[in-house]
Amino acid sequence: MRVLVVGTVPPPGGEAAKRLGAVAAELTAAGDVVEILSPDRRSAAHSHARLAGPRLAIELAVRARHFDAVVINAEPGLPLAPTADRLMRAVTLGALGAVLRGYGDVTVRLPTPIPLPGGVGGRATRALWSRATTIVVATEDDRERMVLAPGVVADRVVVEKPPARVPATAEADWSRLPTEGDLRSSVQTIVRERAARDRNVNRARSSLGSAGLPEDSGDPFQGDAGIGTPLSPVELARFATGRARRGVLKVARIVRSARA
Amino acid sequence: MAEAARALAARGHKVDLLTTCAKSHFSWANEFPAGTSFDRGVTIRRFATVGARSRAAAAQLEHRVQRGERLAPADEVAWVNGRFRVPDLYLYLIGQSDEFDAIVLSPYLFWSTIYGAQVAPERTIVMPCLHDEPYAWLGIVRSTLSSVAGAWFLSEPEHQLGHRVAPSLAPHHAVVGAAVEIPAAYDPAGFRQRHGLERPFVLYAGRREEGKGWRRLLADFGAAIVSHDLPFDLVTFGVGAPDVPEGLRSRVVDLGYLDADELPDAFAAAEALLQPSVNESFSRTVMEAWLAGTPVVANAASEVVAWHCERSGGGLTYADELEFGHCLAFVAEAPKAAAALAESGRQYVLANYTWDVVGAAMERFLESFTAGLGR
Repeated sequence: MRVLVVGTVPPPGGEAAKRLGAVAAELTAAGDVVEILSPDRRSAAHSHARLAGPRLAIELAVRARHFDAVVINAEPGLPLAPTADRLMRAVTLGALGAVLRGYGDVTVRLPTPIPLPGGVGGRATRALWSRATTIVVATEDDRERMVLAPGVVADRVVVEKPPARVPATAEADWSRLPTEGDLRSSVQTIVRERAARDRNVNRARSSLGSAGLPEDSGDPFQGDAGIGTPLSPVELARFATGRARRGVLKVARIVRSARA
Repeated sequence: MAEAARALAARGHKVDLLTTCAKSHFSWANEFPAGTSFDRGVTIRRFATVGARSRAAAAQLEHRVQRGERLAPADEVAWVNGRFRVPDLYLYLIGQSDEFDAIVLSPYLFWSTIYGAQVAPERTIVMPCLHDEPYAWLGIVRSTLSSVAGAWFLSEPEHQLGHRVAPSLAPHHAVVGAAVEIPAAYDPAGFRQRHGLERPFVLYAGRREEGKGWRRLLADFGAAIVSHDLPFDLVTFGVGAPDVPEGLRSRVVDLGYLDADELPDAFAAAEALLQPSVNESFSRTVMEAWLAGTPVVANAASEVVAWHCERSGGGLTYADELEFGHCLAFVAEAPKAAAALAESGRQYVLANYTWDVVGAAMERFLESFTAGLGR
């Protein structure tokens, strides 16, 4: 089976990206042909694209004839930015539900808390949930909420708990703590150092242009995934009028050639 | 104040507690009967409150104060009168003030304090519970803190703020602190069971409102659990609607208003107490958490709580959401070290903020204060 996996995979993206990477690896090991489409250009993906808002539906529509199945990993900004309003939510999710008809098998993976502004219910999500053959959630609470949403088929919702944290890895981060003396100052120092590192990475990420990563960005794969902004109404209008204009020109060419 | 009154009464002093008939400090409605009663050695005298004549005018003045606008002296008086008044208490003080060696008034922004301080300023001590907020910078507050003979502060940062607010601060003043009761025992497992709390949790105890940093805390918590994959829920109790965003509802548990005897168990059951509020003059919940063996993660912008955390070694402070996330990651990943921090906090509370310690400090102050008056 040819499977399109959409979401952030490592090196960036933390635990959630590692889990999606593992899903992709399992599919490959099972004999599927997997291609990864990531919104974060630092991801080890086959292709990268801005996927926030209606762009995701466009990208999926373009690729639909090449794949039998799609796995969509919901993330902050994929498919909706946290600031998305009701109109953007309706347009994005409606378009997504429509283009998913082009795929035989649709898996939607939802971390907790579910990063969907406006919640999992409502008319806007119905088409998306009804097209999903599998909805993967992280907690029983999320499952209970999901099965109440319109369009959801209850037995298609499965819980996949995130793997337990490994204390040994974590302990290493706090290994500098003294057993005696001013414990609080030591912890506070480590907290500030780690936060400062995060700030540097965030600054570096926000300054990223097409030239790539600056040299002094510390760990460039730390921090949130670089999600593109959703299409603005103006961009959406341009896209629609562009397609319409190309369509008109194409029809005109056909008419001209028929007359000739 | 009631606890301080009982502590001084327990030390053999004759204490009268003058208060209102109100139960809610939002409505100031008279819910208790006016009159005299006795409780654990203290004579309690309640007086009826009187509301503002024009709520619209009072609300307008309140907005002007909140905006930090400078009010004319007459407007400041109108603002004080526009909240609630207790004229019968004032009249009682005028008639009986000679019977008292000292009159302690609290907190700084209430009519009862500002007007009460006029009756016998030479024998009055104000316990202001100051925060660095627009009310504190009113001229009427400055003149009150300057005109009385004494002031009690709950912490050193509050004392320093007192000097900034009123450069001619009351001549006799000291940091006496406040005290918390030491519970006989804790039952964290019972608390978790009673409230169906199966996952580890961090706790926010207090008013769920903008001024206490609740909304910011929700945003920071949401970011932290995603960034650090934290195992914690956020459990909260107190007044005010929590208004949790839908995306966070599976991770935030609102217990509503808890009975006082439940609180020690709640603190003991938590992995950490979160204190996002900037406006604190003492922070009782921080002390109660430390007593229960629970570490504290607090907003560094609160001078008072940061001061407690630094002095005690019992809490971490955060300057932004990134530091907040790493503080919670520490609590999750290094529980033994977090418990060691909390133990430092517990020792700090036992050394400084029990009624034995604070009652003795108040008593020492009162002895020198009244000796100076020749009484």
